[in-house]
Amino acid sequence: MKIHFIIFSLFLFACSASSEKQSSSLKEKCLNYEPKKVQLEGELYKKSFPGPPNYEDIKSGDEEEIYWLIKTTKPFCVNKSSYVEGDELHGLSEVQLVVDGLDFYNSKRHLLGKIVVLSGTLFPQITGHHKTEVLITVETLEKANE
Amino acid sequence: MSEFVKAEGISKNRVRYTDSSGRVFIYSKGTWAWRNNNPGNIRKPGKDTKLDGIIGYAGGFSVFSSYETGFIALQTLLKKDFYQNLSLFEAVKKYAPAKDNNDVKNYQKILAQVTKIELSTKIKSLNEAQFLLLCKAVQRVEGFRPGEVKEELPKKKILDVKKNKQNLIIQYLIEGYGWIRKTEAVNLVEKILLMP
Repeated sequence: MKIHFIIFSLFLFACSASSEKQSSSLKEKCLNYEPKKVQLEGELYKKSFPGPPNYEDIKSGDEEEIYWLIKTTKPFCVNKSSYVEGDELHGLSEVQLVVDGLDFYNSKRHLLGKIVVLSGTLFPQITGHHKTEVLITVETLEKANE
Repeated sequence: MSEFVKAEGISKNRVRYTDSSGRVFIYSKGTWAWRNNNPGNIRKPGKDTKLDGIIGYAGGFSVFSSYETGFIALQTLLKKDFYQNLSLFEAVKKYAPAKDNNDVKNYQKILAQVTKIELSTKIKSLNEAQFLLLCKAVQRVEGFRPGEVKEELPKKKILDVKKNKQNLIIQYLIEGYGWIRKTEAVNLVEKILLMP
């Protein structure tokens, strides 16, 4: 009876250790918010959003905000961050790009609709101009290898 | 009115505030920044973000208990490390990213005009007066335009009626009012104070 109990306990311990290992390995796959650099791959596209003052309807007078986004090839998650006060988020697939300005847009316009790889740093949505839960400050943006 | 303790978006462009004494006020028209007491148009913050005075959410934004708390929240946000280490130029890029149709220069231009500060200046090196000017500039660009505030008075019930010999109602007994004539009752219905 005692031997059975010891075997059962060892089995439970092994299961728990394996589950912790699995959960930690899953967690390791999540990306980090800034200042850590990350890389994302997905389709580059642009989208029009209503901006100030009411963030509701361009036809009613709201400023039009055209931003570039990436639809990632695979959903991803981010770890919680005390630095940018970002929540842990899962199942993310759309990310708004934060770039330097029109010069950047004009130089990369030919990549719209293509699968691209971009690198940069992630931060959480804070203001009305932020259209996705997580945004990326872009450092490099290139066409993905086919 | 006392301090607002609760808020909710009730329809497009309307926010219902409840104060600590239970009175209800409707903010309508104007802009979200004004209706939500949120001059920075700050969205729902992360779970660990400390921004005091949030009493609800409307239109995808936080609603603050007063304009003052909303303005303090904007200052609190811009005083966080991830903004403090940026220049005004970089901070604007982060706060309102450059658009494909109209880049961030417009925002930066207004900021430079209002604050009279070089855009290369780091936020952490601004003095208190300059920092307040920065927050005021953000408020201006976000569009803080006041609308209307109306108190939503609690509706009263009809408790009883008096009829004449022709069986027509001539007086109403109204909760909190006592007996009133039919014409006065009609007025109350028009003012949406009486349940029809």
